[in-house]
Amino acid sequence: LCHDDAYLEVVRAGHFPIALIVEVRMRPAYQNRLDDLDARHRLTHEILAPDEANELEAYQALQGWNRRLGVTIAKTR
Amino acid sequence: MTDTRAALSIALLAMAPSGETYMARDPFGRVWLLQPPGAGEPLVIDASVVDAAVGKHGFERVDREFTSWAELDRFRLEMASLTTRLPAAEARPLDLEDVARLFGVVRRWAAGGETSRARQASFALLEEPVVLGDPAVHHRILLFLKDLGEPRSLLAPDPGSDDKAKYHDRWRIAA
Repeated sequence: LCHDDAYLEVVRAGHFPIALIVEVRMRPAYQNRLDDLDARHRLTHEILAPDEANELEAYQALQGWNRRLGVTIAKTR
Repeated sequence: MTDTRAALSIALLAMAPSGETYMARDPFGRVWLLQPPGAGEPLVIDASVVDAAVGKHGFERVDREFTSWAELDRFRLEMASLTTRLPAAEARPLDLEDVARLFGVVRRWAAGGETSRARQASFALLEEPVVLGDPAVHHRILLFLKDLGEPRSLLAPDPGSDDKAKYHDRWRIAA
């Protein structure tokens, strides 16, 4: 499923300690989109589509890991 | 007739439970991997990838046909709404890092001409406890708001009639 210039998200990876995750990488355009969803949700209180809401919840969880566990959120090329 | 319709149908083959990534077959038989905007362009993939996604990566098999992409999308969003939510404990108040991140979005909105939305978001940021507690950040957002200009609703009325002209003059004096 993964190539040099394409990848597919891993939806389920089984149970393992979050502390083992050192870094999460994402494309800048995708991180911009997630930040955009966050701002629409938290600042302008817009109603997101269900799939957008799911993406945002995952992103907020990731932000929580960053603050609590130091997981780096890095941008890919 | 039935054969033609079947040949032209669109199929949702499998999707991530959260709904944002999915695999679909177009009316020409090509199988596509579709990801959220920004995460990657749609890719034509081999049909065998669908089985791998279901078997190894937790995708849900759907195999349902639709007569339009809009119909497929409605179904996909309905399915996504059934996804179990993450624990509410993940919700946390904004910190300065969040504010910087979200302020970046607000600036992009303003640069893209979405000034009304940018203004509303800026006011929301100004009310955040972490912003209220940091005079430098608070001031920066205030300056940004000032640069955005006055909202349309506060501008002088168009003096297209005598009454409007009167209000316009009154507004100018008050300003």
